[in-house]
Amino acid sequence: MPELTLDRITKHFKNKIAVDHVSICLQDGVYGFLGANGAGKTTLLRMICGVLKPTAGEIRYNGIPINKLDGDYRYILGYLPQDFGYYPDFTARRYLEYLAACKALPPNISKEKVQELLCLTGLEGEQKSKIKTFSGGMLRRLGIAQALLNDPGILVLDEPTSGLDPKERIRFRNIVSSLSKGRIIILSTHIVSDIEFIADEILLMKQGRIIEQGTTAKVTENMHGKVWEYLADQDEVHRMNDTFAISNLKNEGEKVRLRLVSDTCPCKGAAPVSPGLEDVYLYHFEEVSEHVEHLERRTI
Amino acid sequence: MEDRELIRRIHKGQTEYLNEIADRYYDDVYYFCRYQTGSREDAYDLAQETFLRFIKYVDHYRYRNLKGYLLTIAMNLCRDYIRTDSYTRAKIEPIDSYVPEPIYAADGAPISGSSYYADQNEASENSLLLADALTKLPDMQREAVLLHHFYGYKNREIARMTGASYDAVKSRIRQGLEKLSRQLRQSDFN
Amino acid sequence: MTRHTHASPHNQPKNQTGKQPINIPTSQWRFPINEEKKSRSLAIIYQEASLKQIRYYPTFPEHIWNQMRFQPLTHWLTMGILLLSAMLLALWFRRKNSGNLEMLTVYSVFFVFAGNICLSQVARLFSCHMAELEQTLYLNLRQMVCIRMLEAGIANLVILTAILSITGETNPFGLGTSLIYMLAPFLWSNILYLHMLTCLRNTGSVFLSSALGLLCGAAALFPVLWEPAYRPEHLIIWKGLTIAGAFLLAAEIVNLLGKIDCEDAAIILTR
Repeated sequence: MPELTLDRITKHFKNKIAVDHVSICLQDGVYGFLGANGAGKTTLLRMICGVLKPTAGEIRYNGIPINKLDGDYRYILGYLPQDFGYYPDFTARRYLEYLAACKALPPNISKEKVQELLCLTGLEGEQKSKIKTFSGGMLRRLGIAQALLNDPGILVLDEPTSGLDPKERIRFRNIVSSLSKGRIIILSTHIVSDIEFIADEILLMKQGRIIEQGTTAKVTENMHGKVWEYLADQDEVHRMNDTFAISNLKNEGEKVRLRLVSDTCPCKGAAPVSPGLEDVYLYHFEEVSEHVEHLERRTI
Repeated sequence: MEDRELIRRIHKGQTEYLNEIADRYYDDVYYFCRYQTGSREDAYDLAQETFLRFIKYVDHYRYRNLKGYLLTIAMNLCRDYIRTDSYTRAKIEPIDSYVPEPIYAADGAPISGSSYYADQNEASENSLLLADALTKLPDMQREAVLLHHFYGYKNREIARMTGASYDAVKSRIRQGLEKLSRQLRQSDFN
Repeated sequence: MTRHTHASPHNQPKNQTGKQPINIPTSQWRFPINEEKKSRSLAIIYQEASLKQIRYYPTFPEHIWNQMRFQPLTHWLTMGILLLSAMLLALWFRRKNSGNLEMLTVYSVFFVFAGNICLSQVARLFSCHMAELEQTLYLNLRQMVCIRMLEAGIANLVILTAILSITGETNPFGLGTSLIYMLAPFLWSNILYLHMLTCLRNTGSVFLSSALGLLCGAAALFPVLWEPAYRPEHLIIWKGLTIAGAFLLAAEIVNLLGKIDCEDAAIILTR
């Protein structure tokens, strides 16, 4: 079984440490890197793709350093960068054909493959339109299509769902699930729901380190007894919000049902509930702005 | 179909032509392994491994001389084999214990008819004497003699295949042949 | 195709010691193979062959063709128009049969334009955030840059040959001298372009590259304004400029490739 090993990977930018001694071993399956912006996810993914070179440490594929494998490694790599590039005056089809040629796809297969991926990502209707006319969601889908062109053994997706609407997100999750057999899929996100159900393994990243690692069940297990539910009065909500990390709130008549994360029982009348991945995220990351924003959108 | 055409089709993804290459050169590779290692049995495995290696690396292979390429793979496998312990057992495979195997025609049907059988059997016994004599040569000399004498390669080609210099190949063949002739004359090789 | 494998006496080496070399006919060493074991072994080989997925390795000409065929139509059109107008101008000069000095200057301006247009296809690789993605493809950014530089070089050579052969007999200077007069502005404009590529952002924009092209073209026009430029006593300066230009251009190319390869990923990531 193919195996990607990160051996004490460290990356410094001037005097800032972006990635700090990360050692993991990846085999077939979906790996979800979860972390706030600036946690070092993108830097780590760029090193896995060979765009950046680690300051220290080594990345090996089946025991061989990836810079030794060089073209043979890139041959099996599919990458969707966070800021995904495209030539605006290319049509979607021409763009994919160009990348297929650079990925050394055999000419007789590349036409078929491009067509197949246009269908998979629902872009077959737009294949003759110039990319500059595409919406954010369509661009993202095009990006996913190009990453899959060479049927990669290692698929790296950096924030693949940004700019996708909820329906497209579901579609994306289904695509990733259907691809997960026999390859290593690495995706990074700061949105819990993207990976909660499709990732075989969750890796929580904070300040360049991996602080938690395991299946969703294992990661949430450590949180037992730290997630509470409490039916609060309207005037209590404000005070609770200042003191505790609130992962959800729901209006129930006059009162508000709060779901909060706390090491100890937050107040009288609060009952422990079983934790979810979002609670774990909230527990570890103080900068919750995006997360809460996301929640608010959902609760409204 | 020419080898070059076979390789071209394989590179285009028609992997069924790999079978044709195996059919075409299995015997040549087998005989080489058999004489190079001295083992009738292990040579089947080595021949098989030669083709498996060839299949593994065929995408990189640029056509030059297919049989020579296969024999080069076989030669390297035999070198590895000789280095390992299993060789010491195989090398002393005694001639006396030889039980003639049933003889088959090219199409695989057993041959009946005593005169053919007898001829082939005699040839087999000669081949055993030959193999026995060959095992007494140093490995490098044996390689060179086999490639030159049995497969008809020129000294320059053997030099390229074995990675030795032209002069080294020349002297290996000469010394090897002298030693082989001496050995065969001592036995009742006819 | 089958090689002559018989160990016939004539391909045995001459025996210098006088001993008779032993003759081993094919039938002696090709004993019958155990068909059962052979077919068992072949079956395993067939099995492996059926699982084999052939990997395709494009040849070097295929790589060059792939890079060429995805260059935009406008690129080929501009090149065509440039070449055509250079030729028309040459005919016009020939009919007028005058102004040899101006002719050379105008050609060197054309040549500068041609150089910049070709280099813009190298710069294009870095535009629109494409560089990061391209760096992870089988044919990576460095290799693509090399291939496109090679293409640019060939295209420029074609244009240079065309210009020099058109001017031909009407050229008042020798071939070598006019080559120097044309190469100096060409090399320096290329240096500027590559320097901009490695140091500035947004170099992929059409505006910046065409502005630079026009600027270099205008600079190349200066011998028209300053007549003594082409006098023989100034030739040594032109020579110096050409040699220095060649070295600097080489240094710029090495610098660009080095920046792609090494730690300094800024060149890839900041655009």
